[in-house]
Amino acid sequence: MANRTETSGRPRQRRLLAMLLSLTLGIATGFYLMPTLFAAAPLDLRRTQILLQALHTGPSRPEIVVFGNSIAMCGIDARAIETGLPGSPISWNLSSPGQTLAESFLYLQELPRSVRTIVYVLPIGNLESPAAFNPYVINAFYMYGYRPSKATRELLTAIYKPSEVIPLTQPNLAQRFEARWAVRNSVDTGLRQLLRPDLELQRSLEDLHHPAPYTQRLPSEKLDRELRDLLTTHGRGEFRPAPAQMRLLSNMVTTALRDQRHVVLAFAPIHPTVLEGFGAEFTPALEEFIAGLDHRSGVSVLDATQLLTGDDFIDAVHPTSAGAHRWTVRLVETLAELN
Amino acid sequence: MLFQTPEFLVFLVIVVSFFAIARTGRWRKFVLVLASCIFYMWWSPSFIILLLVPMLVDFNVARWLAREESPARRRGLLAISIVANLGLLGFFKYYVFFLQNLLSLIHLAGANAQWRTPDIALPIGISFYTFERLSYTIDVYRRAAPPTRSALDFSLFITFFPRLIAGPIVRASDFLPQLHRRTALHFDLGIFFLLLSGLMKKVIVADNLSPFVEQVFSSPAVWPSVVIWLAAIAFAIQIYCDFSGYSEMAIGLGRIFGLELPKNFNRPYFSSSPSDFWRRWHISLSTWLRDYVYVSLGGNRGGTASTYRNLMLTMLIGGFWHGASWNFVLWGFLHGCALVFHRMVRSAERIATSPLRRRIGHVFSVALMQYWVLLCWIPFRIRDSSAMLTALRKFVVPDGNFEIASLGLGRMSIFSTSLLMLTFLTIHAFSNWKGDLDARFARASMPTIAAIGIAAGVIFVTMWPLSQAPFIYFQF
Repeated sequence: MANRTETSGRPRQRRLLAMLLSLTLGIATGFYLMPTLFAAAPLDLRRTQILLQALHTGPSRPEIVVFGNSIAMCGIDARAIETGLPGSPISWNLSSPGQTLAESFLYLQELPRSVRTIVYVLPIGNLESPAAFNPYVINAFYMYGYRPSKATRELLTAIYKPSEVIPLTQPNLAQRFEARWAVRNSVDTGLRQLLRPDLELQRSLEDLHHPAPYTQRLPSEKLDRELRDLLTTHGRGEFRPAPAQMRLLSNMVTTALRDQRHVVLAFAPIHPTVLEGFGAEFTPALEEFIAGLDHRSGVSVLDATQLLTGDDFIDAVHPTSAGAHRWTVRLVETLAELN
Repeated sequence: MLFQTPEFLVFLVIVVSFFAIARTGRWRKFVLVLASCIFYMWWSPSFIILLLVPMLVDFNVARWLAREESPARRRGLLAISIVANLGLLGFFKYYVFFLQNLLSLIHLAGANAQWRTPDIALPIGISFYTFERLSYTIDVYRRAAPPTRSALDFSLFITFFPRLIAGPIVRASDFLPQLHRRTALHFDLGIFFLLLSGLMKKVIVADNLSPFVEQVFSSPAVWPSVVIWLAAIAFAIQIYCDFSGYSEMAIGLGRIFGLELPKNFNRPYFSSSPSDFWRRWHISLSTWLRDYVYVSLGGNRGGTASTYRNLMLTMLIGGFWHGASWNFVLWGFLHGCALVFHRMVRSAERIATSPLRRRIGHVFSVALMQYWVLLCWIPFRIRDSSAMLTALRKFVVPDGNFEIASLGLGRMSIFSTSLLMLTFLTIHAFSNWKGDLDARFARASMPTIAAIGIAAGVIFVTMWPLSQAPFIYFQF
C-alpha cells in the first residue's frame, strides 16, 4: 500500500510541491531573520555600531575626534589629549579596524556640532590603495542604521568607481542579502575571542578613548617573521598615493575648514625595520609628499613616520602603550599649536 | 550562463516549455539541440563553428567507416577524425604553450630568437566534446558500436547542454540508444534533490572555500604549515564539490528530459589505493583514458615494464588534458608514480589475514592515499613554480607553528572555513556510511521534506557566497 502511495502520481506531486513551498518559506525566513542575526552576531565591525550610537546618542559631546585604523586605535590615547590640552576638551578616538579614508568620511555627516578639531591618522598603505571600502563595511553601516546623505553619496560617486559606491544606495532586501557575510564573520570573531585571551577585544569594541586590543608584545622571533612577511607582501620602492584618496582627503579638509573645524593630518609611525626595508627612495619621497601637502590656516601635518623606535611597537605595525604615549604627546603639541 | 544563475533558470523554464509543447520525439530532440546551441553561444557565439563543423566530419567519417572493409582505408578514415579533432584541440589549447616552450628552449641553448606568441582564446568545453567525438569514431572503427544514421541524434549527442561544457564525458554507445526511446519530461523529488545537492555542493561549499584557498595559495610563503595543510584540504573539498556538484546538476538536468548521464564521482576521498581513486574520481575521464589511451598503448599485455610505461604515459596525457601547463603534467606524473608504485607493491596488500589487520590496513591505506592526493592537488592548484615548491615544502616538512589564532585580526576566515570543511566532511562520511543522501531524502516523510526545504532555504540566504566563481573545470 505504502509503495503504491509512493509511486502514484498525485502524492508524488504533493511531496514535490511541499518541498518547493518549504524551500520558499526557508528563503523568506532567512531574509526575515537576517537583521536579528546581524544584531546578535559578535562581528569584528561591531565597533561601527558603537561609534554611530555614540555620535547619535552619546552622553557627552566631543570637541576633538580622531579617525584611523587599528594603528590609531593602538597609538592614540584620547584621554591623554584631554588631560594634555587646556580646558580638557572632550576627545574621542573613533578609529576602527581597517578604517579607510572613505569610511572615515561616512562618519563626517554624523559628527555633532561640538566637534572643533578632526584628526585623520593616515597609514601610508591607506593612501596608496585606490579602494574606497572594505566590501562589508558599507553593509555594516546600513545594517547598524546609517543612511548616507545626498552630499555624502554625490562626493563618493564623483571620486570612486561607481561599483564601490552603489552598495550605499541598495534597497533594504538587497542589503539584507548582502549582510550574509556576518554569518561566517561571527564564527571567526567568536572563536578568536575564545582563543585569544591575550587580546582585550571588548575594549577594542567599546572604548572611545584608547581602544587598543593588544596587551602582550610579540616575542622577537615572531616579530622578525612578521616583519619579514610584511616586507614580502607590501614591499615597495617609492611612495605613490592613489589620486582618488588624495581627492577625498582634499575634500574632507575643505569641508572641515568650511565648517570652521581644524584638521590634523597625522602620518602614522612605521616600524624602523619596515621603513628601512622599503628602500632608500621611500623616505625622501614621503617627506617630499608631506611637505607638499595642504598647509592652509587651520590645517596641521604631524609626521610621525620616524617617531618611534623598534621597542615602541607591539608587533610589526601597532604601537605599544609607551609608543602610544610618545605619539599622543606629539599630537597634543600639534593640537596646542593649532589652537 | 552558469547553472546557479537566474538567467539559467529562465533558460531552463523556456526549454522545458518548448520541450513540453513539442509533440513528437523528433521535434523534442530539435528543441534540445537548438537550446544547446544557444547555451553554448551564450559563452562565445563564434565558437559554435568549432562545435558543429567537426561534428559533420565525425558523423560522415563514422558512416564511411561502417561501410568500409579495407583496413588501410579504415585507418585513414580514423586518422581524418583524429587529426581533425586533436588538431583543433592542439591549436586552441596547446599551440601557445608549445611556442612559449620552444622559445625557452632556444634561449636555453644560447640562441637569440624572439617572436610574439598569439593570444588564442580557449573555446569552452573543447576538451570534453573533443573526447566525446573521438570515442564515437574510435568505437565505430573498433566495431564496438554502430554509427547512427540520424544527424539529429548525433547532434544531440554532441551538444546536449547539461554536460556540454564540463562533462560527464558521455559515450555514444550509452547515449544514442536512449534517443530511440520516446523522450518525455520527468520531474520528481529525486531529481529535485539531485539538483539541490549539486547546487549546495557548488555554491555553499566550493564557492565559500574558494577565497580562503586563493588567499593562502597566492602567497604560501607567509603562511605556516598548518594553514598550508588546511588550504590543501580546503582545495580538495572545493574541487570535489565544484566538479561533482556540476556533474550532479548535469545528471539531474539530463533526467528532466529523460536522458541518463553517467555518474562521474563515487566518494573518491574514501579510496584506499591509486587505482581505487581513479575508479572514483572523474570516472568518465578515467574510463575514457583507460579505454582509448591505456588500452591503445597496449595496456598490461606487454609485460611489467611496458605496463608501467603505459600507466605513466596515460597519466601524463591525463594531466596534460587538464591544461597546457607543466604543473598539470607534474600532477599527472605524481599520480602516475602512485599507480606504478601501487602496482609494484599490491601483492603485499594480500598478506594481511585477520579481519582486524585488514581493517587497520584499510584505514592506513585510505589515510596514505589521501595524503598523496592532497599533495598532488598543490601542483594542480598553484601554477607559479616558486610558490608551488614553497607550499609543497611546507606541506611535507611541518614548521611546527600552530598559532593560527594569531593570524590577522578580523579578515582571516580560518575558523569559519574549518567549520565549513568539518561540516561537509561529516555529511560526506555519513553518506559514505548510509548511502546517497539525496536518494534517502527523496523517500523521506512529508514533515522531514518540509524541514529539509526550510533548512535549505535559510542556508541559501545566509550562506550564499559573496562572490560567485565559475566552475573550475570550465577552464579545461
